Amino acid sequence: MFEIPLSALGLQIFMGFTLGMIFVLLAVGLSLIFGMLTVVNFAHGAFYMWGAYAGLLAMNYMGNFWLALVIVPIVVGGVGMLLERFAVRRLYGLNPDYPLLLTFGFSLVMIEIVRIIWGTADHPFSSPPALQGPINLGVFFFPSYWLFVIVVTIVVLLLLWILLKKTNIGLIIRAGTRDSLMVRVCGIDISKIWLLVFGMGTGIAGLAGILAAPMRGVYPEMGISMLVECFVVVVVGGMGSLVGAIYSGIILGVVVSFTTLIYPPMANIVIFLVMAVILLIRPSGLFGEKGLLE
Amino acid sequence: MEILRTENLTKNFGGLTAVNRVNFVLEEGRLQSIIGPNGAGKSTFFKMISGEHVPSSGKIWFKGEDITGLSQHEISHKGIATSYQITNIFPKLTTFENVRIAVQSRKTTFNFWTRADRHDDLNEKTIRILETVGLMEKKDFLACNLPHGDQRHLEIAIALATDPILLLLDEPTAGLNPVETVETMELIKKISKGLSVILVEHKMKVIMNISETITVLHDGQVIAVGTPEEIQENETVRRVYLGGKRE
Amino acid sequence: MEKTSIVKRILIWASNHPLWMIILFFLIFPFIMPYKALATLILINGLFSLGFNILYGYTGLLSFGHAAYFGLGAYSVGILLSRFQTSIWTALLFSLIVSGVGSLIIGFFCLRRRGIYFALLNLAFAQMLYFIAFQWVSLTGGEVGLRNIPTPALQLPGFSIDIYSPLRFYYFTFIFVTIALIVLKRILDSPFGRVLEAIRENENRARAIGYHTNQVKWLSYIISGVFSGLAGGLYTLYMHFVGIEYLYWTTSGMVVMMTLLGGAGTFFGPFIGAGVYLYLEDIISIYTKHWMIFVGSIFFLCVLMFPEGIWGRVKSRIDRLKVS
Repeated sequence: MFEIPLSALGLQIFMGFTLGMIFVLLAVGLSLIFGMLTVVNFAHGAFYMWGAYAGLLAMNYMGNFWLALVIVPIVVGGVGMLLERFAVRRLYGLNPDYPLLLTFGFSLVMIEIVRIIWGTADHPFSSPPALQGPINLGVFFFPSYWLFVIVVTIVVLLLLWILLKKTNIGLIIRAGTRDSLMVRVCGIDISKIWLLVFGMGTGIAGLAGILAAPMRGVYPEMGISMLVECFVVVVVGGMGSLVGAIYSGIILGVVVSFTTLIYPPMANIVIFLVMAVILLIRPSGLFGEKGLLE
Repeated sequence: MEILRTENLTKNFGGLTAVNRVNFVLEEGRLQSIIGPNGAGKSTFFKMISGEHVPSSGKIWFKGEDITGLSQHEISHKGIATSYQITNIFPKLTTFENVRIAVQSRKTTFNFWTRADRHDDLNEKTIRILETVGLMEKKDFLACNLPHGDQRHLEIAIALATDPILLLLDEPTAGLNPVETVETMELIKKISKGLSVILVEHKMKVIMNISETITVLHDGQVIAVGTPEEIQENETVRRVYLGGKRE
Repeated sequence: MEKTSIVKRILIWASNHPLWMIILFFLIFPFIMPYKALATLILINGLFSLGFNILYGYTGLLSFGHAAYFGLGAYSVGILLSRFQTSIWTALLFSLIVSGVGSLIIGFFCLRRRGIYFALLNLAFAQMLYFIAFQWVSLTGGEVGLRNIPTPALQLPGFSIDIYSPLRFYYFTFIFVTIALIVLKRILDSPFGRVLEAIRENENRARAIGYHTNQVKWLSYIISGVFSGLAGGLYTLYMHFVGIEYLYWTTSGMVVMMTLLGGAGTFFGPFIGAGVYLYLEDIISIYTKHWMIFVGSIFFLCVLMFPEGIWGRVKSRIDRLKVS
């Protein structure tokens, strides 16, 4: 068990890192929605799943992965905005359980729709030819697709960072309150910001879905296991903290990856053990609750 | 005898110091008021005494015992009760139950086998308190359906129901019209007999008649302590608070 | 002078004597239902929802992980009957103990956080149990589950009864559910039950007036887990089978939906919710296996438009009748 060659080890860490990036994308979207709207989007995993299936559709009709990569988040985010505009919005100000229950119900419908159209079996999703095959990074060979996922995630995080830190809209979002007198006084229609935040959050989830599809396959339940894992990431990292989500996403990705290598039966269970330990010794997560971002 | 003493009590929230080295003493059986503009730290001060906030530094003594950092429920059982500035009742319970559940806290929590409404001793005490605050007629109303003035009285009733030795009243007349304000102050005078009371208020007129001693808080710090007359004469207080500010 | 109609008087009496109403109703229930198995199913799931409702409707704590306790109870009975050939009594007792211990431990962890965290932490722990059961094939049968669970006769002093015909099993379940109902009603009407409601309405104030709310919540959680476990155990006896899906999040989701549809925080609600949910599933699945789209949508609309649930709505109408 400990005679693992360095290259396999490196590969596993790299895979974990990549997996972690997917966790990070999901956790960031979830935190975005929660931070501003105080809504936990139980359907977040379902949006991720729809991203993967939308990718399937896009590939079927257009055959162009790059185009799909752009269109899918927009479409999925659009659905998210519809959900916010016509349903979630009515529950603001009430008991925070309600949006959770609402989005839970919605996720059930989302999953069933996919089952009706595609059935319950796994669907394969191949990465674009340009990204197939390994890249030689000196010490070992890595699947270039994984590198691509890492790059895309970093780009998205950077764009998000710019939006949040450098624009007025970002300022409003970071203020962390759903409805601010200040914002209305400035003449900005706060409900458009709600739409934007929900759309961005779910759109990023959809992006994560299509990115993950070649790595993890496409099946109806992929969302729920992702949601739970993503939630563990957020608990471990600290709900309000973007930095926490990034660190813990990567750490947990690596941990899962390693466990799969060393002792596969524990692979699904190990993240819960990490979560239990964190809950015991540091209930507010590694990076505490410092406000929405940093 | 001193009933409450705070020594250099301080509370920091990140970069903001809400309460800054406050020293406060209350003699047993007295009613003392704290005034100060919004943000002066009055509510935070109360919350440290009641255990809702843990002080960043400093100490609190109650009846000679150090209660700094104890939990809310422990402090409640020591004999300290709070009535809140923002109404903090049990919305979907009846007025009667709001008070009864507070009365029950002195008797039992983990009793699973008797019927709650058959505890006559608790029911009688609840009725007495409701009569004191004038809510007997509305005892079967859901608390969320009470008008604001009655809800403020219910606030006080819930605090009274726990048999406190020290009563912390945080702006009991918040949101009340002048008539209701006078009524509430009369009520407070009535219930303060035999208790030690700290009254936080915003409206100067209200506390001038009722307090023996007034502490003035500004930006988390004590800037003056004295009788109502002394406070009115005090230059610093005038400048900071009385001069042209609210009622 | 208006004469109150018989129907109104019955409704008011029912609302004031929920326990008797339920017992009377369920006494004749199997004869109203299209088939007896459905009646039993509703009874068992009603018990499950009742347990869940203690935590959600009465204490105000939403958990998405109650499949854990249902599953623990179910597997306890399944394992004890198949591998250790115990009596039904022992098996059911074990389901109570195991789900009790499970809820004690998991509750401890989950209660370290509040609100929505709490709801999803429960989900996380339940999923963990699911994966453990999945892997631990020697104990649980893994993905396949435990099949052909023995069906011993029920041992009573002096004689034994075979309880497995549909009607007999219904009344066997009915006895347990009745006992559970009496115990729960007792708890909810007690001083402890009042503290639960105070916590639901305003936990901060409940603490401020002297209640050790963490302890109370923990105990409520355990009670909720134990009754959910009993339901799981009874379900195993009914199905002669324990499946890994008993521990899956869909089971947690189902009990949430049933309770909400029926009316959280009411005594009847859970049973009505279970009835509606199972009846809908039964009827719709005749036409399509994708019945979840309909049930899910109904639940979605329920949260949006009548979160107080069916019985919650009816109850407020009845309360208005009482005042007039």
